[in-house]
Amino acid sequence: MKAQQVKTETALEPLAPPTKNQSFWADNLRQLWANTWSVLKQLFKNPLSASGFIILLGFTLVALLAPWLAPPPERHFNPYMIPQDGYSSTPHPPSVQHPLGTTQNQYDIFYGLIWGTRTAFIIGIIVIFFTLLVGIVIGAVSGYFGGWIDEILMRITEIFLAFPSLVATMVLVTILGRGLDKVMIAFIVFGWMAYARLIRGNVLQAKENTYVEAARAAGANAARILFRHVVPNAIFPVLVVASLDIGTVVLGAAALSFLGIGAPEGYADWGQMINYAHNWILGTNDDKLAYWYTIFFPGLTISLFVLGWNFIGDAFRDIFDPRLRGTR
Amino acid sequence: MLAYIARRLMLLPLILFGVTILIFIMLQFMNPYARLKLYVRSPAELKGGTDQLDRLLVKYGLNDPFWVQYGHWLEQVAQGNLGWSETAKTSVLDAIQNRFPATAELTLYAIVPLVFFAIWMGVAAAVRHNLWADQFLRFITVIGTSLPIFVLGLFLLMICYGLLYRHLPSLFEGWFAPGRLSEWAQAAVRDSKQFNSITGMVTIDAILNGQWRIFWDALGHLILPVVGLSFSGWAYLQRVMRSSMLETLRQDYVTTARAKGLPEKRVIVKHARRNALIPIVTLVGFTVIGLLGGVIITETIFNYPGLGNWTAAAAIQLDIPSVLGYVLFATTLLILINLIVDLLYTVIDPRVRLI
Amino acid sequence: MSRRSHWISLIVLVLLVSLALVSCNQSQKPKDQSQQQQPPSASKETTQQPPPPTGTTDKEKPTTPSAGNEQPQSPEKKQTSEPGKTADNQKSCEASQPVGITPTTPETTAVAGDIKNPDTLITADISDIDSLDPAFVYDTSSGEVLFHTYDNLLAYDGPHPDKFKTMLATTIPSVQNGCIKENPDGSVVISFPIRTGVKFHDGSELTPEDVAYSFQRLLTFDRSGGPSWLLLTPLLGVNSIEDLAKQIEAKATGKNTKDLDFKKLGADSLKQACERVLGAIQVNGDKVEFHLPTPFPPFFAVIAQSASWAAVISKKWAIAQGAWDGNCADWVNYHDPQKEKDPLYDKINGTGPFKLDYWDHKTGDISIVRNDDYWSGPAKLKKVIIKKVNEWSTRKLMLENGEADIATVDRQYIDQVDGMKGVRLIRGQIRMILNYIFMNQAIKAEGNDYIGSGKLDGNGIPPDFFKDVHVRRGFNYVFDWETYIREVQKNEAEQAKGPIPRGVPFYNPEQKTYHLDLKEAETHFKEAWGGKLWDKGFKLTAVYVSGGDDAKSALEIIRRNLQQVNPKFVIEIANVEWSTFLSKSVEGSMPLYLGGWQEDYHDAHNWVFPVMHSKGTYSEHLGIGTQYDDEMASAIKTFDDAKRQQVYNQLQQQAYEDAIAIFMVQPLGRHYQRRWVDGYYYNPIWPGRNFYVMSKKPDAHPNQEYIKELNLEIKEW
Repeated sequence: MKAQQVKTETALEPLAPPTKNQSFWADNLRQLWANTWSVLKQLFKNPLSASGFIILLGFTLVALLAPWLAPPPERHFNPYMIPQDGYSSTPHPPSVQHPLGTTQNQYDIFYGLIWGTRTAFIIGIIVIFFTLLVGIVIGAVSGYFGGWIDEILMRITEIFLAFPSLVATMVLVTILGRGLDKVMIAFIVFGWMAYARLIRGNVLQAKENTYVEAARAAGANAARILFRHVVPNAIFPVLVVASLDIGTVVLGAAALSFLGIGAPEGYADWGQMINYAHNWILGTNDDKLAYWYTIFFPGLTISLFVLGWNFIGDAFRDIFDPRLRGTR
Repeated sequence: MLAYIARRLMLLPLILFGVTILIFIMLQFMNPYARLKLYVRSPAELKGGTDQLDRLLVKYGLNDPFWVQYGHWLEQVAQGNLGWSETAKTSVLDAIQNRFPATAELTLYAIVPLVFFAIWMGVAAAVRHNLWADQFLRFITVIGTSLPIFVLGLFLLMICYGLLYRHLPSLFEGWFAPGRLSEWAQAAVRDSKQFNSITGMVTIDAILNGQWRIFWDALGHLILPVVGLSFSGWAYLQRVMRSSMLETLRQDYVTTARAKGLPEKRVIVKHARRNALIPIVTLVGFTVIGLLGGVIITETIFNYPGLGNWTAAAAIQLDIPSVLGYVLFATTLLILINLIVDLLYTVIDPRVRLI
Repeated sequence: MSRRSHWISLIVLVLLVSLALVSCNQSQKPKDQSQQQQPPSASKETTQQPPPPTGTTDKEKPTTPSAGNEQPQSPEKKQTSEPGKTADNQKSCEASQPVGITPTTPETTAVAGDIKNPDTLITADISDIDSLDPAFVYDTSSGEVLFHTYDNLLAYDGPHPDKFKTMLATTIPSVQNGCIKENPDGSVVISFPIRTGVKFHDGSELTPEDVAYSFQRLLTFDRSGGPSWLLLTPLLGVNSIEDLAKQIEAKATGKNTKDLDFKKLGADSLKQACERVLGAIQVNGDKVEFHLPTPFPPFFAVIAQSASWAAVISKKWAIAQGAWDGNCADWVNYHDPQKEKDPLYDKINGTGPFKLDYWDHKTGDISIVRNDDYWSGPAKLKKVIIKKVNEWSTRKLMLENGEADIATVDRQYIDQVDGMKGVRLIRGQIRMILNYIFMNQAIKAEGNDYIGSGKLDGNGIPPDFFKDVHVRRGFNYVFDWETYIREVQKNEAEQAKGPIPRGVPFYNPEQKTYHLDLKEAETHFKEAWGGKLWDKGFKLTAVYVSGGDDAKSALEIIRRNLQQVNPKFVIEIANVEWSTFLSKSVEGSMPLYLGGWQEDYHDAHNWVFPVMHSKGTYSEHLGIGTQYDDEMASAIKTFDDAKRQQVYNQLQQQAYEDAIAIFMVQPLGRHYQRRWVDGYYYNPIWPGRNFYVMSKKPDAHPNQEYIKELNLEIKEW
């Protein structure tokens, strides 16, 4: 790539063109941040999304403070593996040692939920980051170059879209073997299509902008134009959509773990906690709800997490869905 | 429009080809021995030793390069044979035929109340825009979308089996029970002399046969899965209906109607609601697709013998012929539903043209 | 406007219905009715009458009460005593009189009280029926169905795994009665006189040809991963018929068997292989003769009832269904078919006490109904339904409300069933299962991430890490059987005393075993690898298959105890899918992993072979070598029990001294049933339960004589 020779003073909208003294990305980032900030401001004003933010902030804190909230016992090699207190399969109710009780095989529920929060964020962020990356590259290339490249890429996208997604991820995870890394790979492989399409649409619009024409006229090469001028302009809405999808990804991963093909056994993972509760919902003969805590706490946690994202997403749709604009 | 349909349908084989070959490509990431797990189900069956495993590899052609394997499969499909489903213990075609009616029944029962409730509540919320009813419904729907099926399903089971069963055992003589039918009803349905299976959907067949007891039994078994399946879809649809309704309420013709002095109720029902329904049609299509995905978990939780239950087992056991069969079926269904939605759209909204 | 609204709703409906109709050939009618399925009048009427269970209502008083239940001769008693006696009296290898079929019209067991489905027994199991072809089946769930629908030549006597009684054969062959003949060249001929007057379900009569055909078909069928090797080994000395054909071809052409491809063998070799099979099993008058090249003591155990592969099918019927016709020219076409091409896959025509009713592929349920013409008297139950219910909660509910009479209860969940009203638990059944933790002495190092650095530097282990006997002993001393059995197995298991479990002949109850002793472990670990191990420490990954909670706990116990012995001893526990495990075990890359064995036939040989022989299922991949092969070979080729006992004692002692594995536990069984189920007892060899001896009645109890003899514990609520 030839360095720093593009002159695009003519282009002014919607992103500031790079000035000679400043790094291009710094400018773009500033613009991006300005956009984001205006969105955030609106979201904070809305009581629903504000509470969503508070919920997610709480989860973030829990994830960050996990080692202090639920310190792993000594000689415990992998903090993500929930410590077992004994080997009996029968769950034990909440007690001083185990504030939320233990689930099947004496896994501490509290510990599992705390560290599971980390797991959830890790899955969500990594998966979204990479799906976005794949989606951006494919969508941008497809939209910018058009023609047969576009045709081929869009057909491939269509094929991936036609796949029943849960089955596809299940098959891929089974093929790759058990483990969260495999789950993440499966979600990335079958998750990028929507972003690719969105980006492509935005790129189609953005490439008509005058400053792109100018860049092209100035002899910049295609990749440079694409990733320095077109993509940054097309990326914002997709970024927002994607970040709101974190909740969905976490839910999907939990579903796989629930079906017994996600996280390794004993790994701090919400879906797995619910899987462990699965066979205990009927209680004992004396007390039909004897094991309520095995499902209640994990169910509550995962629902609360998704609720946080949904609150924000819901308000966000209200603000930005053109169909809804002004209805509030 | 015919050209449009033809073009879409012509894409179908291409997509099916792509989807299936994708599965075979994925399989390349797997050690062929690992794929034997479908045929050697537990360590106890490993008795013949490695020789036996090698024989199995040859027998099922798992060592061949993937295009050879794909070629074999394609050849089979060309002869109208989708292969053998080890999970269902029948041919894949039979498995789909056997199970789809059950899933269709579940989906049907889920979607009908779902759509009507969503429309009704969406309208109710829009009309009371920003009043407490609207806020309340909004709250409920957000919570609804936040309860994953597997959490909701287990809660339902716990409440119905754990609490209700204890206190109202008579309720369980046929209601809320797991599975699809009680034992006596299953025996009756199996008896082809007394019961004529026409659609494969038990409730409908029961009505056609005039067997009301079976009908009620089947219905009782459907309640929990239906609730579990439709809950999140309902919430989403309600949201869209609400916003669509809000939009139409601000249209000029609604204002005109009001100005004419028509009663408010009439304005809402006759003028606004009708037009607000348009976007719902597309969404119903998507919801059906969503439900077909949702059945995988719902059927597993409620032990309901449908396509989803089978597919989940097949995917986990890597029963590739079954997975391929299901994917072919589901993909075709998905594309057809999308096509129908597109066509409906042109019918409802003449402004839309398909090119 | 109004028209448009109708349009929309109509379109929505059409959309839904079109979805439903994709698979259904019928068109409009169901749609119309589905939309109006709730006529309010009907709903009121029907909800008021709760759907009653099948069969009789509680008001109906039976006309023939309990007396009627006692009248039909209890067939299991008849079976256990009478045929056995006839066998004893028999001095020559002759067919005895057929057992008279007393034409008892089966009583309709109408019972008072609230017994649900009084003459149908329903079980809720996790079972997954694989096939119904006896030559194909090699798992216990399918085996249980075949157990009730087909008969074998011999059967086990009551609950005893080592006593036989006659079944389709009228005599138990022995050297004394002349049915076993040892030839001077060491070969043996065993002949079974075949019972006459026995009828298949389709009404045709059993002939010796049927018996011979059943076995010949088994040997040529030889599905890969199937049971045929169990008879191929004693009769023809090979593991697979393909090997036999290759050997013949190799002999003729002088080629190496390893270079031959079975699919490209000459027609002549194939034909000869088949002729060898026909020669090994011959019909001689009313007898069927088995020709064994060398003595094979467990032969009866390989063919007696429970061995589903040795079930007798009807030749004529099988051929009519499209199975092999017994001709040597084309047996290859019927050899090792894929399941869908096996003509007997979903059909049954046996001589057993039950007939196949249906096998529902939608639900996985299978139902068998009483064969009223059974030669040993009809069963008491009219019908048995084995339901496949994978969800534990559902199974529990079914047992609780009596919808299921017998339910499978995983050990994890026993606390949930304790105290369930109307349920009886019978526990303490010995099971022919052993669990091991294997230590691989020759780990494949290439691309192996289970052994860390691959060196003895504290961050891994060398591939021959377990070659040092002190390491293996050290590992044995850190396993805590007591905790494992108490907490993980909930006291429903016994420590294994070595490769041979309790209840198997030649088991040595005096055998020394390992026990938890961290001091002792320390001594051995300090001696291992010239002391280097103790200083450097090690790190390895132990593997278990998903779903094995108890397996994980076992490794967890080892992990924690090793940490106590030396904090530098690190084990990581990896959880893999069965598929991964399968490929890794073939590869030989797992250093420490769990395994289990369930016997094929009741003999010590079936137990030492898989874990100690150089070709054993497990030991082949453990680098154990050929050191025990000769001893094993000597013990299986003699009828001399004293000699066999001596060899097996020695093998058990060697297994201990060489610490070839951690012999964990022999799990015990338990059986949950409604209290109205009568006549239960068990035999560890059976693939499952024996419904022939069961019935349902108000004052029901298990077979007390046998329960006492087996020392089982009964709990009732």
